[in-house]
Amino acid sequence: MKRVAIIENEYQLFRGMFEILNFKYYQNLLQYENFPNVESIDPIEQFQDYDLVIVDVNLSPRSPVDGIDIVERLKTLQRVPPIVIFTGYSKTEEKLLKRDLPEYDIIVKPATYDKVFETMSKYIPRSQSPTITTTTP
Amino acid sequence: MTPSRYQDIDSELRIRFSRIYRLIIILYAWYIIFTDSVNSFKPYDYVAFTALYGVIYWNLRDAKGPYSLLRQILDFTFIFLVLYKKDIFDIKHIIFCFLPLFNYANHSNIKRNPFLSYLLAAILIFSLKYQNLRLSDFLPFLFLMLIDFLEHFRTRVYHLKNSLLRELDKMLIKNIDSAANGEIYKEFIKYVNGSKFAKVFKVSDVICFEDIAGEYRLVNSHEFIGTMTLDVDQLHSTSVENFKEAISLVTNEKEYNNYVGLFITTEHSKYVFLLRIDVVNMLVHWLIRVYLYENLLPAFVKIANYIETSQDMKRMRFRMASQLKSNLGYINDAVFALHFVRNKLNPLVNYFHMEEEMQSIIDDNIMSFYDHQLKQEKPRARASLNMILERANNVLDMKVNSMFISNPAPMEVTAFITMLRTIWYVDFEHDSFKAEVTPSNWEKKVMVDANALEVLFSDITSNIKKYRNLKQDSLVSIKEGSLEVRFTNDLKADGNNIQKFKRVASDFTTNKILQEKQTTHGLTFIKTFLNQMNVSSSIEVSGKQCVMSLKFKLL
Repeated sequence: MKRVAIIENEYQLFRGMFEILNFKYYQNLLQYENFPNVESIDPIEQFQDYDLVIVDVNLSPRSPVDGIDIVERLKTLQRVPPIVIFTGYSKTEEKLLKRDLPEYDIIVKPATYDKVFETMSKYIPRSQSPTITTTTP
Repeated sequence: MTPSRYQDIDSELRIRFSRIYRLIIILYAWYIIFTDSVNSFKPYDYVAFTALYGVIYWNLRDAKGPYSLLRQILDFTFIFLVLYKKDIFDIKHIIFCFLPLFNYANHSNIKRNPFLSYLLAAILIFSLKYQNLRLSDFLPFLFLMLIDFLEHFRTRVYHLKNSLLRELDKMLIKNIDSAANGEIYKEFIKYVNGSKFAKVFKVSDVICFEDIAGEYRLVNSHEFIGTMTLDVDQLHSTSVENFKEAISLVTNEKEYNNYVGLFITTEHSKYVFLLRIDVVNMLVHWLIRVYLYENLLPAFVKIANYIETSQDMKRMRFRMASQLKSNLGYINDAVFALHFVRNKLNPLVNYFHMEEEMQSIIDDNIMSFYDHQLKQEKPRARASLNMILERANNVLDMKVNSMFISNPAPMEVTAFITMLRTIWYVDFEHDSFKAEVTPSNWEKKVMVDANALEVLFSDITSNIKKYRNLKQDSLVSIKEGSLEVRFTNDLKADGNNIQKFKRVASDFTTNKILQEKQTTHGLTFIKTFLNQMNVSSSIEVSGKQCVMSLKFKLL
């Protein structure tokens, strides 16, 4: 089992996508856990045990911190987990550069499970055999 | 005209008058020589005197300061030679003696001392008639001199006033905010205290208040005011309309009772300027203070107008900043909406992605899993779609659109025509604009937002310019209770384009242009503005001719 933390306030919009991705590429061996708000991420040390942390940079407008603040907090951990940025903003790359965080991969919304897998696979390689076989159209 | 140019022209005029005056002296002299039966010299002597007078004058014509006195001495010497041994009390002779005195106002040197002219005239008369002269014969000189002195004084004050205005202009050109922030008072005080005014009084402080319905609001001051106490009743009771003396004021915990108030009314406001006066010459101040302060009024009228303009500009900047803020708010909302849309699009994108992938799945178990997921994703996709549409509607809702017309007000037909004509003439020929409105309709009004109307007309003329071929014109007329504007344009287009223009024209007339997203953003914008101002509008395309008609309801 690989553990994936998804810090996203609208997880319900992405649940289907992550489930298909799990099924198609990881034979349901991924265990997702959603952290919908800032309060839920404390204590931050809990993320040390995850195999991947997906952080939405545009949290709720009411949120006192944005995703990049969370990334900065994650960077302070003793064991920094692999981090991927999930965003609807086209200029997130610039934003990360400005905050001196250029090294993270970005998944731009809206994304398909295939697109998400392209990025995720760098951190969690797929299972030996694909779950599904498809015919070539 | 710049102040220095004004000064140059004034000096130039004086020099020219000075030459004309010498010509008059010569003509007058020869009138005496020809009409007098007896002359003291031979004609060629007079010719020599005249020639010598002309030559010496020409050499002294540019003499400045004390040397200009030489020109006066020359005039009196010439007069002396012409009148030598003649009856001084003959009317034409005595007037000739006084010519240099009458010329005072045109003198090329504005600082000329009138006493010197009278002294020279007295010496002249004494030299011509010294044997028979009595002391009382000089008394009329005193009366004349007194009158001349008053005129001289008036002219000096007039020049001081003009010079002060020029100095203030210079300061305002250098720093337009100096009137609003009170810096200008430093220049004012420096000028007054360094001028002839300082022989009568000096100014040590200036404070400006705006009179808002009897309440006096501090506008600015020469010195920083930390604390102030002013009994405003003092300002209400003025015996002279625009002037009040001995005003008491406590500023920065010091009490003064020597402020003079000058009251200025501008187009939209009333101001009072308090000047702290230190009297230098009590007698002269008592005699002519009102006259002196009155001559300071134009300087304060100028400052008050600048203050008012600055305040108007500040208010305008504030309005623009508010407008900009609202525009930015609108743009921000739109940007947030797009980010929101990107999030909400995810279930839809996945739904279609899964559906597409399912076409190629052959394994029944997998197909069943996908089918289950698709059913789960479908309501999420639908909900997302609804949310996206709702947000899109919010963004497009005109009530939150920053372009919404917010300040409709009645506008006179003349102002309306002037605005349109000014905008029209930027791009088109003068004879292409016609206003067929009779004077009886000039004062009628239409309800419009003036700023929006200006933008609207600019947009229409830009559109006409963009598609024009040979001929364009605009006609303003009054028909059936409406002010109608017809813009006619000869389109630069071929057959296909004409069909497109006809379609767009029809969409514009029927409002369809607002319902569908079109490429004609300019016309959509124009139609939106017109609808918001309740202006009925239509476009007709016939052949290559396009006519836009706008009807503004008369109030």
